[in-house]
Amino acid sequence: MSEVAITGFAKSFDGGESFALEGIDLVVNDGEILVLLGSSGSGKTTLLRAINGLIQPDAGRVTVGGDDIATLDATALRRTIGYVIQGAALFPHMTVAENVGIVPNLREWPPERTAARVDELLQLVQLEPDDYRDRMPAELSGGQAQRVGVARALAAEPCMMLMDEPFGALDPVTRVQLQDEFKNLQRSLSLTTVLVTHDMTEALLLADRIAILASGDVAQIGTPAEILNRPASAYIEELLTTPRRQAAELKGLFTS
Amino acid sequence: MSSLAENLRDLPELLSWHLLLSLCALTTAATLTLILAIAADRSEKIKRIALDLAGTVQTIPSLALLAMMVPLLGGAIGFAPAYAALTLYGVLPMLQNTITGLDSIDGSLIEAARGLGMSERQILRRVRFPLAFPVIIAGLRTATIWVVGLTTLATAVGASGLGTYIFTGLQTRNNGMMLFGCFFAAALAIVLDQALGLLERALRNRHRGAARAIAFWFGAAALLAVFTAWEPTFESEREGPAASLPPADESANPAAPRRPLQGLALTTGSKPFIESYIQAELLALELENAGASVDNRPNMGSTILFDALRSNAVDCYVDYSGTIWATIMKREEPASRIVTLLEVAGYLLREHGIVTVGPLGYQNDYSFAMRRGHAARLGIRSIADLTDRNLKIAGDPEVFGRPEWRRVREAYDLESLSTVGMQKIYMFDAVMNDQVDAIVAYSTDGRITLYDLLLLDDPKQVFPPYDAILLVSPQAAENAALIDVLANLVNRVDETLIRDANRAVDVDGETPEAAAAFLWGQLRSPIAPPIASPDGGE
Repeated sequence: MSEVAITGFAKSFDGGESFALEGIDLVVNDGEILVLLGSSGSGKTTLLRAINGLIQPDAGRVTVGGDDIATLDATALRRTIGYVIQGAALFPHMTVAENVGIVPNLREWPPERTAARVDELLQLVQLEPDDYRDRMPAELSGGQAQRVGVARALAAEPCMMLMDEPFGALDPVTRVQLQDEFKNLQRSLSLTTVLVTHDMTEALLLADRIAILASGDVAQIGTPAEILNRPASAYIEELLTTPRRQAAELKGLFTS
Repeated sequence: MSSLAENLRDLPELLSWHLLLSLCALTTAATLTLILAIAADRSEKIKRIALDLAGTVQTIPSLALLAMMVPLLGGAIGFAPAYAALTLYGVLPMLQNTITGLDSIDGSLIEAARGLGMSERQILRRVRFPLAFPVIIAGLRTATIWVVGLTTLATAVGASGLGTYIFTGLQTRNNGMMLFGCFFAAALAIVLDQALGLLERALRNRHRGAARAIAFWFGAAALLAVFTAWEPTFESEREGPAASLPPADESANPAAPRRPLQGLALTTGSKPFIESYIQAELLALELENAGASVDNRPNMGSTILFDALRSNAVDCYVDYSGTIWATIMKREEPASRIVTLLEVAGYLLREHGIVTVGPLGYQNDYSFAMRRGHAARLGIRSIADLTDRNLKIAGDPEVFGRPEWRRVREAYDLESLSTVGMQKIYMFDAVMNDQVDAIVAYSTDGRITLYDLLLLDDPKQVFPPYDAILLVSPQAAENAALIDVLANLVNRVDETLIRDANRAVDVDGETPEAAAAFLWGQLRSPIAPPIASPDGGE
């Protein structure tokens, strides 16, 4: 149902002179975490935003659950897809509960149902509802804000999640903790997820499959093991240098 | 003396009108701003045009904008033109802040809102407006201070407000009255500004109760203002002007023939100088004595008052034949007193349907005045003696811009004189302290006799004669009884009487009302004979 298929996708930001992305074919399977990996400017965010219609392709098409999204109502579609961006982007004039309740509200759920759902989600992202419900975003730490951001994306029981560098702006300890928690959450809900990052270590730890974008194209797509064992190019080999070295060093520390 | 108590007596009514005018203009400006801001949000072109238009309005001097509204609204005076001008003035600060506020929202928040499935309209209403709210309110507060301040100028188009104290106080050298008006205008601006600040904070901190309480007080103040502003009108309609009649009249003969204007509501007005205030009060006394109720609009601009008469917004007032001759008829050459009167009366009737009931009986001409000793030392008796002299002459700034001044300078070859423009109230001090050699004064100014100044002859009769003439609007002139009543004032006031009345206000600090009452008493005393008509015969 929530399978995403991107075919022949192309996007230009200068009226067709050059293409940020061209001839992209990509499938996201039901229940998996697909990580889009690339350096800045590689088009990974563009591709992510094409899935919920924030960006219209110049060529090709995007289908969600078999339907071409060009034929769907964009706002209605977005209300069925969770969306998390870097730094959480909580609305500063709304309480935590109001932020989490936005999409249920837009979908005109009865208030009691929304309130119950908000509490359930705050518990899920490990924020005690009675403590956090009425706080303003300014009163939260970065990690807490990002947890609320995830809860907000999950609120209206979306069929899938789109995440744009969701753990990017966090300190290393919080980041690892949230990555773990999210991975568990995703498994238990078997939530189809597309996650954008430029951090190879994060990709290797979270992904079911990784799609590496370079020069406007998909350079390699595969499971973390496939990427690690058979990098398709020198560039990908280079991307793996840091995680490998870190892993080796850590291993050395543990065995010594 | 006009005391604090007298100022306080009018305060509820004038403050109420001031508040109402400001609030109505601000509310309309805020609504207009909202509509414009939403339209501007959809199109860059509309945004640019709206901001340019609002900016252009701001470059028009406020007094000019007010004056422009009178002809634009078909000669209407009072609340309507003031409301229109102040509304336009209020739009710019609000529009600028609203557009800036809406445009300065963090892009990632809008991105998040869109990604969560909000439509552009929902983003505007639920995210951008609430986040821009403090900036929008800051614009509203700026506009509030501007508009409350500018409402003091609205008296120039005949709207009631605290400006009445300021203008009248300034012209009658009553600093207490002027400061009284300034104080309450400033206090009103500060109170409204602070209340808006509290409202914004209450809304931001979600103190719904506090916000409701502030909104309630705004409403209550506006409602109270409506009742206070209208109450005097109700009263005068109920009781008629009987209260203002001298008691002797009551006992004499209360029968109908003595009150031919019973039940008639009339409007008169004055320009911002002492003699004009007295003329308007004199008209009011005569009309109220005949049973009419009179609404007096003080401090109106000269051409605004004339336009208002022409369009029947004002029923009657006193102007000067020379002013109509030079400013309205644009005539260059001077004529004799009687010819000027006849031509002016004929022109007004023919071109505008305005009826000239007649002259009050005195002339208030432009005159060169000097200290007697100073003039004797220099051997000066007439304007002709000023030719090729290196002397300094003061006058109000308007005088030196008028066509009459150009003609007198050419006729007597006065190129060597240096002119100093200053407010009328400072001219006399300047000439008495020898800071200037002569002044261009008005012949009926009370200070001429006070300081015993010499009025120089005008042997070539370059200045036109300025007879005070009683004018009635086309519509009001259809009422023969009204003309009859006003005719009681024709040829009854001579130079000595008006000069005494002017002096009572200017020098002795009486109110124009008191001076007019003195004048009116003189006219009604049986001993006072009608004065000679201009050409010498009856």
